[in-house]
Amino acid sequence: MYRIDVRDIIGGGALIAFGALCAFVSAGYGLGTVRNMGPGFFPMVLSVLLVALGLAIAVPALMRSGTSIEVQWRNVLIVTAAIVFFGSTLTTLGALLTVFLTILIVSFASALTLRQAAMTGIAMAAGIWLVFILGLGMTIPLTPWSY
Amino acid sequence: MELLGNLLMGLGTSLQPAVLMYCVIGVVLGTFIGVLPGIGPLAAISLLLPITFHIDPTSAIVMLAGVYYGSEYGGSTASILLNIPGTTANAVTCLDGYPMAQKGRAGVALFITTIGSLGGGIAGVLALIFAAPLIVAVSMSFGAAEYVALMVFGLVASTAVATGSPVKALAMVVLGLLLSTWGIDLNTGISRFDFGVVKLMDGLNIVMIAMGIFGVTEIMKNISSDRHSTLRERITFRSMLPTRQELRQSGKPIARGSIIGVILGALPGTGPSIASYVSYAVERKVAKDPSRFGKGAIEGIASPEASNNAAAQAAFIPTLTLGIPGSATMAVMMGALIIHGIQPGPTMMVEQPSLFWGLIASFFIGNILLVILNIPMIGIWVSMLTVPSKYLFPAILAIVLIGGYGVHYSTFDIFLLAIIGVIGYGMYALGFEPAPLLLGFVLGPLLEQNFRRAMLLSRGDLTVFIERPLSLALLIITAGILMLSVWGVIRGRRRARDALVS
Repeated sequence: MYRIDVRDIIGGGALIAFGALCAFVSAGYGLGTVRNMGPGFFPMVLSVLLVALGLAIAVPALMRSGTSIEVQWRNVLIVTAAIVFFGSTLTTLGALLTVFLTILIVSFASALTLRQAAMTGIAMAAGIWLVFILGLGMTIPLTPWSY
Repeated sequence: MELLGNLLMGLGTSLQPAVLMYCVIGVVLGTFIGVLPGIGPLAAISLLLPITFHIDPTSAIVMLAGVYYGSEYGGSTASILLNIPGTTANAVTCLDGYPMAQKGRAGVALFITTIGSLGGGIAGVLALIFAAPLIVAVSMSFGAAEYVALMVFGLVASTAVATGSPVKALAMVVLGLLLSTWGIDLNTGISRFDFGVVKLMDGLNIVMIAMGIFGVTEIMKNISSDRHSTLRERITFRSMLPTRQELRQSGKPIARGSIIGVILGALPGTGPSIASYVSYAVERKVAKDPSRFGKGAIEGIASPEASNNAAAQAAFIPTLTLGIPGSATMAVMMGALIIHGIQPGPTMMVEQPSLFWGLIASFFIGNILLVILNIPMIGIWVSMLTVPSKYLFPAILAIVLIGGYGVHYSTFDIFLLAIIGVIGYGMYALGFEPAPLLLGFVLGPLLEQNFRRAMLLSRGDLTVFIERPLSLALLIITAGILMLSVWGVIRGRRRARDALVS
């Protein structure tokens, strides 16, 4: 579509930026000498390598067209929301309820009907109780009243 | 005869009820993972990592290993019955396995792939038993410089055969190495890259990275998948029995596949997938009638299945004896050992003999268990293929989240998983393979330590890497691989440009 490969430019650019950032921070830790390497030596070498590789990816991308970037935004968003929900409510609602609700949330990204999701949620809550709490002995509060 | 004593000790370790139970769990899970398309051994092992915190290291590694080689047994099931590979290494089995099923020979195909897997697995274990003490003995003469060269070789080799651009794979390796420096530097006690955040002072946790990239990202990629398959036929035990001719036709391919698998599995960078492709190509080359391939030639499934199992077992050779993981999956398994304070490598055989030989003995037990699971009990796995895939990924998410919480009982870790998952998805969208990152991440600390030691010993003289013969040899091979990769990239671009012009 375009005359440049946007995907690799972004990818290479991100590597260059990250590498440059790490190089900057590494220098602050003291490089030392090759014989007596400071904490920043190895990270600096790697950061420079990363920047070089980023350039090797981004520069040729300026001269050719490339593949388009495909992102399933809806899926990424829903899965992230489900995870954030889990992390926020696990300690208040307990494992069983949180697992059930998390599965309901993430099912919006899947082909499951609400009923199928509810069944999966119940099954997973039960399974997790069996395997992780009974089987492995993890001490996770199960219900909102376990506090 | 010391070998026999070690093996007996190993057998004693692996037959303990606790360890045996985890072996069974491992191979059952492995078969399950292998049978189901959509999730592979790498994701499964990453998900199991937090669970290994709660059990002893021998049981942990026996279970994870069982998942790994078990998945190579089960993976052919979907390939044969649905023309969908159960794991990437079983893609080749679709080519002749599915036509066999269409001709009504699905049962026989399943039987032969199991036998082939057994042959390959046993070959791999035997290679491990005989090669391990030899390699460990040779490695005694390795200095820090040789280890650096070996690790660099392993890392570069894994990028050469990675799918997609080798330059991007190399970038991922370097990124992984860089990320491994985050946290407290053991040499000086200084916390690196913590940006003032206390939680980062311990560095990044391999469990979080593996679960985030191979768990959460995979969920994000696949959550909408809606595969629902129906099977046309029932697999009875009788339908599985092959004719005498079919058995005879399979013998040599299984042997050839096993040898190819052992060699390619032991080399860093190549693994079960490459091994299966190569052995398929070899079978086509040596066949008297190559036109049979693609239409249900039994050699086309026997050999790849033997070689992917042989490769899976042989992959343990460099991992256990030298501490060099040949693939991301091996790296994650090494991570499990490192979490328990065990550093895989030459010293492991001496310091942890019961774990080392117990693991090897468990391979024997596991392979036998897998034959039982895959032949008489094949019906169970086949019926699982009819379960729609949309149930799988929400379930995996629940496992990821509980497991992730259980590592430190910290909800911060859960949010970290979300972040890593998004970043992992970003990498995938931009065309980067995550596996090399994990390799770099696991080898990073060891690489830095050995590089530092080598420089200390040589008083800052970099030519030490060229002076010492083994190091020089490894670096020359590494350079060769790099040049081949670059040449391949340039040639690919030139061809694409010519195609556009004409």
